Amino acid sequence: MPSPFLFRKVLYLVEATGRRAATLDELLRVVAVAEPRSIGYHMHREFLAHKFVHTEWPNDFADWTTRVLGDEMLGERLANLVVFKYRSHEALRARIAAIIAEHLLQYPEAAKLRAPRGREFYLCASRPVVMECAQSALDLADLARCLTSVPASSVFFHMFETRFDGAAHRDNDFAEWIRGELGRHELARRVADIDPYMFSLEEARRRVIAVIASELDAQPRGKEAR
Amino acid sequence: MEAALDAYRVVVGDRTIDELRALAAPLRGRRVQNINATRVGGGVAEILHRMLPLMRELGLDASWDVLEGADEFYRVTKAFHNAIQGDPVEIGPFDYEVFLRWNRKNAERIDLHGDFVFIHDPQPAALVERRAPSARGQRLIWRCHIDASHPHRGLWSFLERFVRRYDASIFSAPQFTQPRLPVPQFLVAPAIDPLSDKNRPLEADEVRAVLERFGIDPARPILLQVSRFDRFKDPVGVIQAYRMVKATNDCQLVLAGGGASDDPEGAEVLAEVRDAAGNEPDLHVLELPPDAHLTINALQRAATVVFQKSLREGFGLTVSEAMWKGRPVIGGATGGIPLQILDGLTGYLVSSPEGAAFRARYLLNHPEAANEMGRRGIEQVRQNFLLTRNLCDYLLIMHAVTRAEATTIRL
Repeated sequence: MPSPFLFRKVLYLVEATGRRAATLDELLRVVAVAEPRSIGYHMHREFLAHKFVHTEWPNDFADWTTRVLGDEMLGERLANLVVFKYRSHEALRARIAAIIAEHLLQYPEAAKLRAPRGREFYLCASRPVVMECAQSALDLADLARCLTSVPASSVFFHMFETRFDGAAHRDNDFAEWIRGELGRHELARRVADIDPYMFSLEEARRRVIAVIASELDAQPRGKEAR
Repeated sequence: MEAALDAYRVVVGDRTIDELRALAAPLRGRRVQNINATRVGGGVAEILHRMLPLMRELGLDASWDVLEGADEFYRVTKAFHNAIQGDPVEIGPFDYEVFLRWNRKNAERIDLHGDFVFIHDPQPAALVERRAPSARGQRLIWRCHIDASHPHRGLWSFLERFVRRYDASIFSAPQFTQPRLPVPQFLVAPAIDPLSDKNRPLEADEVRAVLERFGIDPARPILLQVSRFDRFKDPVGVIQAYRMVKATNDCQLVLAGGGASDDPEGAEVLAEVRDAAGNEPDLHVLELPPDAHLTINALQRAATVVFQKSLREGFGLTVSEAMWKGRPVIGGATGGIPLQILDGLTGYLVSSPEGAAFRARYLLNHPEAANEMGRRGIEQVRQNFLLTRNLCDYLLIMHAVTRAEATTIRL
C-alpha cells in the first residue's frame, strides 16, 4: 500500500535584508553574501504573483539588470539559468555570482551602469509558512483530481519549494511520489520533465494533470492505476 | 457596521477565509495590542478600525490604545513625520524633549500588556523604553507606515535607538526600509477594506445625491484627487494639471480632503489650495470631516479619472481605493504608488503636472482604455491590497516572531 500524497501549500512572509545594489558591482557583492532564502525569493516570487501580462523575465536578477540597468546580455544570461540543475540555493547563488562576475570581466563598461534612485535592487528574503491542504491522494486518479482543485500555492510548493534541500537530485514532488510510491518510472520521468520555469503555475498544473490523464486513458479499463 | 469575516467570502473567496482561520487557530487567545497616535483620520486608524474586529473574530484578544498629547506633541510628531520622509525640517533638542516627555507620560497610562504589541509609526516609538523586563515571551513590533528610506539623519539616529529595541519592524515596501537596522524588517503593504463604507458598492442614487450636494455635474467628466491637504500630496500641482486638461477637454476637478487630529498643517495648506483654486466654478475644493467615508466612496465612483499626484508618499492607499472602484489612476511615481499602479495597465505613473495632464487627456479621449484599466485595477487590488491579505501578513508575522530561528514554519 503506497503512502498517500499529502498536499501542502506555502505562504511567504517577506523580509527586507537592508542590502541594496545600484550597480552590477554592488549586485555582485549583495549576491555573494545573500542568504539562500533570498536567492529562492528572487528566483521564484514572480511565479506566485498575479499577472495581467506574461512576464518577460523569469527571475528578479534578470528583470532588474535588463529593465533597470539596460544590460540585456546579462539579463539573458541570468534568465537562461537551468535552475533545477542546482540542488541548493547556495549552489544557485554561486552560479548567479559567477555569471555576473564573468560578465563584468568580459564587459568592464557594464560596471558603469547605475540604477536611478528608488529603483535599486533591494535584496529581500522570504520565510515559508507551510500548511496542510486537507487533501491527499492514494492513486493516480486521486492525484489528478486533487490537482484540479488545490491552490496555486500548493502547486508551487510541490514543484519549486521542495527542490532545493541540498540533498541528492530531486524531481518535483509529484514525480518523486509516482516513482517512489507507485513504482511508475516512465510516468515519473514524464512528470519530472515538465519544467515549471517555462510555464505559469496554472499551465504547469494543467500539464501535470494532462500527463497523468493520458496515462490513465492508456491503461486497460477496470484496472486501477497505482 | 463591523463586517464578519464570512462576509468577505464573496469578495476574496472561501480559500482565503479558510486560510485565515487556519493561520489564526494556533494563536487563539493571544493578546494583540495596537498603539498609535490617532483614532480618527489617516490610513492607520482606518486599517485598525477594520482589522481589529476581524482579529477578534479569529479568536485573538485584540485591543487598541491611542496616545494622548497636546499641540506641542503633535507639532513635533508632524515635523518628525515630514523629516523621516526626507523633508528638510529643523529639529532641535527641545523637539526631542517634547517627544520623550509625551511618550513617557503615555507610558504611565498605557500598559504594554499584549503578547504581541504593534506600535504604529514614530509617534509612540519610544514606548519600547517601558517594556517590562518580566514580560518574557512578549513581542514588540514597530510598524512604520511611512517611507523611512532617506530620513533626516539626526532624527533617525535618535529614533533608531528605540527601533533597535523592538523584536521586529514592519515596512510597507523594500524601498522604505533602512540598510542597517539590526531587527527583522518585514514587508507588509497596507490594504483597504472592501466592505467598509469607503469601499462598499453604492447605489447610483447614493452617488448622485453626493454630487448634487456639492454642485458637481454628473454629466461631465470628473477628475478627482482625494487626500489630506498636505504639500506632499501636491494639490496645487493637481490644479495646474487640471487647467492644462481643461484647455482641451471639458471637465471638472474635485479636490476632496480630510483631516487628521494629529496634522496641524492641514488648515494652512487648505488655504493655499483655495487661493490657487480661485473662484472657478468647475473646481471644487471640499473639506470633508474624517468620517466622510460614504462621500469619498461616492466621489471615487463618480470620477472619470483619479489623481494621486503625490511628491512623497507613504503608501498612498487612496490609489487602491480608486482602483477598487474600477477607476484608472494617475499617480506620482513615489512611495508606494508604483507598487499599486501597474504603469500603462491600471493607470499611469507621472512625475509632473504636465505628465498628469497628458495622461488625463488621453484617458478622457479613450474611455474604452480607461474602462479596461479600471477592470484590471479591481483585480490588482483584489489580489494584493485587501484587508484580508493584510490580516494574513500580520498572522504570519506573529508566527514568525515567536519562532525567530525557524527558516521554515510548519503549521
